[in-house]
Amino acid sequence: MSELKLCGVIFCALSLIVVFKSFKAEYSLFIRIAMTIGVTIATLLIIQPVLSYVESLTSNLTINKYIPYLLKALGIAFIVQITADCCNDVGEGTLAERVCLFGKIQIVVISLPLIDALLSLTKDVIK
Amino acid sequence: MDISLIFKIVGIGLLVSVCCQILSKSGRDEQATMLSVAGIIIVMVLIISELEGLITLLSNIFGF
Amino acid sequence: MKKCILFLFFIIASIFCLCFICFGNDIHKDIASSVDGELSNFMDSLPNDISSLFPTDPLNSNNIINEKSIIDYIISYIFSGVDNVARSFVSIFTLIIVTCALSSICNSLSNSALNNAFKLCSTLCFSITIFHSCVGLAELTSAYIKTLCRVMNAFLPLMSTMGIMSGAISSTTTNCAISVLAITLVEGFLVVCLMPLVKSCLTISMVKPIGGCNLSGISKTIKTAFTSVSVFVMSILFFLLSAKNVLAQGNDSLSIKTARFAISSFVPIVGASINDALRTVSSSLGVIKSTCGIIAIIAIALLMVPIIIHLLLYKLSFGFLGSVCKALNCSSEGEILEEADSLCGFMLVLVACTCVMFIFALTIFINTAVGVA
Repeated sequence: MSELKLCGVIFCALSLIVVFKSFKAEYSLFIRIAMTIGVTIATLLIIQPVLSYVESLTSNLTINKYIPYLLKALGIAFIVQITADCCNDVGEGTLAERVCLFGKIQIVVISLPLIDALLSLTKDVIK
Repeated sequence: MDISLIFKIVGIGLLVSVCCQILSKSGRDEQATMLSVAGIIIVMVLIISELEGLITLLSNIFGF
Repeated sequence: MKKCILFLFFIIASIFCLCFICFGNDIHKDIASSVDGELSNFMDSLPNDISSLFPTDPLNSNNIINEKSIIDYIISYIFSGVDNVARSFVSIFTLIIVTCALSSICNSLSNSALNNAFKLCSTLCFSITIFHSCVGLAELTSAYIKTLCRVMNAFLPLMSTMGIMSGAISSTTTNCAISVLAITLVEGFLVVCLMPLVKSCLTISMVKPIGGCNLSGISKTIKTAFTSVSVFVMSILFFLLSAKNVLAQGNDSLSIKTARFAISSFVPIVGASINDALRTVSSSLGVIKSTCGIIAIIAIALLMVPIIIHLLLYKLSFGFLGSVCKALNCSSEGEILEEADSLCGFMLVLVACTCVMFIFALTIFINTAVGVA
């Protein structure tokens, strides 16, 4: 989907959201959610060949085992940010903050194997 | 996913709001409420099918 | 008359050269076959566990030993570490580029907490890779220093025997005691302290990007303490070695240069003292060359050059990657790489000190042997 087409669709959706806000506010939320999902899918479709190229580049190197952790952390950050923004739009700031906290903790939990590997390398110093 | 989903939601929203207005003006408030709830549920079903596509794409790209 | 004799001499010399060129191949083959025979006799006379350590490749598999094969072997041996350096350089470079690209995507998210969490993950990946490389380098350096110390230890019994044969028993006892002390100090201090130093400095540099508190002052203090203690130890060492030199050999110029070198040589940034160091080392190499010939100098160079090239290449690559990180706005990873860079410089200094110590030990051994003869 080219960027001109995307921007045109977003402008249409914006005008419809504003129209619906006055008499049926819930439909504006649905249009907003649908538009967000559409733009996210378009972004991910652009990113996908780039990420698979990066994985093919690093497939022969020693850093190959660390790239999945990075990608997972990025994915979690992405989806949590989208959810939090939607919550903020509707006015649910509390929910947005809780979702962000969940995302942070999930990223740290995912990096636990990395922390474990680093500590095992440095544990001789503590000995 | 293309602009047809947006137009479907807009169409359902317009239809539901017009019918709700007619029903509440002619005195059938409960039916108006039930119609609006039904409209919301239909739109949510449409959105959930799109959400499933997004989640599949995310799990493919980021490896969840 | 004179002109006639000169002309005759010139003709005979040119005929001799022509004969050498024409029959040189045959002479060359004779020399090569006799060398081959001598070499196999030498290899047979060695005990099994030592002859198994010799490389079996280019000198024994070809029947003809010529200069080209030896030079090829030397060049391939000197640059044998370049493959590993290139591979780790490419890995770290790719990791930097990937991390910076993904960080820039993550930076666009409005919530800074998620950004920090992603930065934690990427810094951990980075730290583990750098840690592996540096610890591998430190293990290589300490193994090298240990091996050189083992070789120096092996000189001692033979040196003491030859010293006793020459009759100077008290000076031989002093020699050996001081040599044992020197080698134990070098091995015990340099090797025992190197790995903890490398690991602690790297760990401290990793605390700042992951945890947020800046402990770089502590690692500077550790490195300064290590440098001062090693300068102290090495200057005592060389004072003792020079004193031993005065007692045993009376070779004043070498001992004066040794003492001067010892005091000023172990500063990590060897500015003006490198002249003194070069002079002392060159006088020692002169002694070695006059007794053992140029082949000993080539052998000593082959001992020392590969690891110095290995460490230099790693230092250069860490420095370059650190500046690339800073250019791509990943300053925390850049600091870890700069720390690795300075640690490589440290290891280079330690290896250079041990090599100089080895050359001195070899010179003293040769002086003892010459004293016998």
